[in-house]
This record gives sequence, structure tokens and C-alpha cells, in this order.
Amino acid sequence: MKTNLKIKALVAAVAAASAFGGTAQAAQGTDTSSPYSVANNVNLSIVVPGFLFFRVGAPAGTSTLTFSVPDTDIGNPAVPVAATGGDAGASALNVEVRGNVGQITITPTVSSATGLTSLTPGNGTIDFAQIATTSSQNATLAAPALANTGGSVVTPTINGNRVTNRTAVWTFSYLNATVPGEGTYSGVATYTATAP
Amino acid sequence: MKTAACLLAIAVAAGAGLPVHDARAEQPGTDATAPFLVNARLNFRVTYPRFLRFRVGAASTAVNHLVFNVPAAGVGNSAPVSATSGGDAGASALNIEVVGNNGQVTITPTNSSGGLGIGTGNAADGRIDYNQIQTTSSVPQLPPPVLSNAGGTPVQPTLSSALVTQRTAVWTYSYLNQTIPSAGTYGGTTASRGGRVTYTATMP
Repeated sequence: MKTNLKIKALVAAVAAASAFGGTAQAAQGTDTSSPYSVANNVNLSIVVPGFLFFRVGAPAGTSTLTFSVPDTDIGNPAVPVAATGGDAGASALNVEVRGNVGQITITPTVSSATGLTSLTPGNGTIDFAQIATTSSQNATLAAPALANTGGSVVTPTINGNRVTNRTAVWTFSYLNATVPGEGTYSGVATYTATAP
Repeated sequence: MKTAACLLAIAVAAGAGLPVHDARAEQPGTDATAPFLVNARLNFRVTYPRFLRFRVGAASTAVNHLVFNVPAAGVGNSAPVSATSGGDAGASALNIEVVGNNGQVTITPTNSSGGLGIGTGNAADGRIDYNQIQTTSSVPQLPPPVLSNAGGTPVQPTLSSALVTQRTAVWTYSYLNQTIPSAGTYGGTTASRGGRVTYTATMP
């Protein structure tokens, strides 16, 4: 009988010392009087680190889109040109962006402020604005519009709290609105995602 | 020739609170005629009180604190995460013991989240649902409750005999990692953040 009383006194003391509830806070306890009830606690912590993940195109490496303009429609804006080399169809890229530290911003930059360049002397350049991009999820993960200065900045819609988890397919086309000199024109667009 | 015989009677008291009597012998007797025979009977009574004992984790007054560290490269990838510390049966596991002798024991989980899930203390971070905490048991007769924001499902350990339960098990915890929460530390020893689970064992 004394042992039981001591245990109950201990349980009561532990309960009184806690800020939570009126039950025992220990990891074990014994009750010897009706109604029989023993309550034990477990604390849980989940540590979630901050991160930012961003993918444009193939999971590894740099995607290369090649637009081959048909010689019968050079400079014909009614016939935009699709590419080859995409990972979501020939002219399209898979895009994923995930993060948990706040609003993400995607900023494009380009390799040349004069546009896509040709190795052939005297050919001039093709403006990056001739590369149009559309998104399959324009409302939540729009595609930046490219320009020789880089392009427009886009902000994917946050899913909730400080979390963004969006996927889309960006489809590229060459607008074919000018008549450049014959040759192969190259350039690099770099999309950079940032978060606070 | 002298012969002494003891008749033993062991009575198990059916109810708690009955007085515990010392073993009591009959008054000594004397036989002065052959064949000599003296019986000295001794009665025993053993009283078992009703009781319920329940342990979750360390066999002490300390409260175990399981800490799940999600790898940065795998946040929300559905690869379960074990606790890296806090268990007493391995880093992510707790020893469980329930012993009682007055009928079916029921274990009911509640938590300190007010039905909202586990938070960081900053409302803007959102919450992690308790359904992301999975518990498994090493012994089918002592299953763990399935946790939820509302508390969880009560479980009833299998009776060992008519009124007696005597079960031990190891409950192993994991974070299911099926969502992407805001960065931060959720739960902990501050009960108002919602990370405290209370398992209550009851018996009739």
C-alpha cells in the first residue's frame, strides 16, 4: 500500500511540473486505484532543412534545342519553327522547381547582348526575342520571355506557406520573323532560380 | 512417532483493498497416546491488488524525444526518415510495456497540437500532419496506435489470460516524408508546437 501511494505521489508531482495537461508526463507509471489510467508522453521533432531544386530539361547536362528553318519558309512568321533536342517532346523541356524558404524567382540571362551569333563573318545575329516560349502551366509556372538583355523575370506561384512545388513543360519555337544570313546561329540561355 | 502435516490453502483475493493477513497456524496440540498424531494446519492468503502499469520509452520519469532530421536532398521525396536520436530501443524505437490485471486495457493517443498537426511556432510555416509519423510494432499483440492530428486510433493489447494483460513490444517510429514543409524545426519539447504525443492506457 505504501509503495502504491508513493508511485501515485510521484505521478502527481511530475504532472504538476509540466505545462501540458493534467496527466502524468513520465515515460512509465503505475496506477493501483480505480479508474485505472496511466498516461505517458513522447516528444517528436522533425527538422526540415531549407532547399531549392530547379530543373530545366534533362536531369543531367545542358539541353540543346536545334531549330532548322526550312528553306522554303525563311523569314515567314506564319510558319514558326519547332526544334529538336527536347526531353518533353522535340521542342519542349520539362521544368521543375521546388523550395521551402519563400518566393522563388526565375531570371533568364543570355550569352550575348546582341543575340544568337553565327560563326560566319558578316552574318549578324538573331535576337533572342525570336525564341518564343510557352508554358503548359502558365498560371503557376510561366516561362520567361527571352530578350537580348536576358528576359522577363517570373515568380512561380507558391503552393502554401513558404513552399513551392511546381512542374510544367516549356515549349520553344523560333518565330521566323526575320531573314538572317545563311548559317548556324548559337546562343545560351541560362535560367537561374533564387529564393530568400 | 510424531507426524506433523500442514494443509496449505492459498486464496487469491478477488478484490483490491482486502486486508492482507499474515500466515496463521493452529494452536499447538498434544497427543499423548499411541499412535501419536498431531495436525498443525497453516493457512496462506496472498492478495493481489488491481493495478495497471504502462511504459512508453525509458523506464524512468524522463520523456523520450525522437528527432527526425530530413536530408536536404530528399525533402518530400517519400523516402521514410528514421529518428537519429531519442529512442531507448534504438535511435528511432521505444520499449513498450503494459501490464494489468482487471480486464481489457485500451491505449489511446492524444497530442498537444489541438488538431492542427506539428508546427514550428511560426504560423507562416504551416504544420506537418501527424499522419506523416508512422509507428510499427515488433509484436502483433501490442500494436501501436495510428497517429493523426485528432489524436489517433485507440488500440487494445491482446489479453494474456482472462483478466490479465502482460505485453512488451518495441514501437519503431518513422517520418514518412511525403510532403514538402517550410524549412524549420517542428515540434520538440515545447508542447504548444504540437509535437507531444500522450499515450494513455486505461483499464476497467
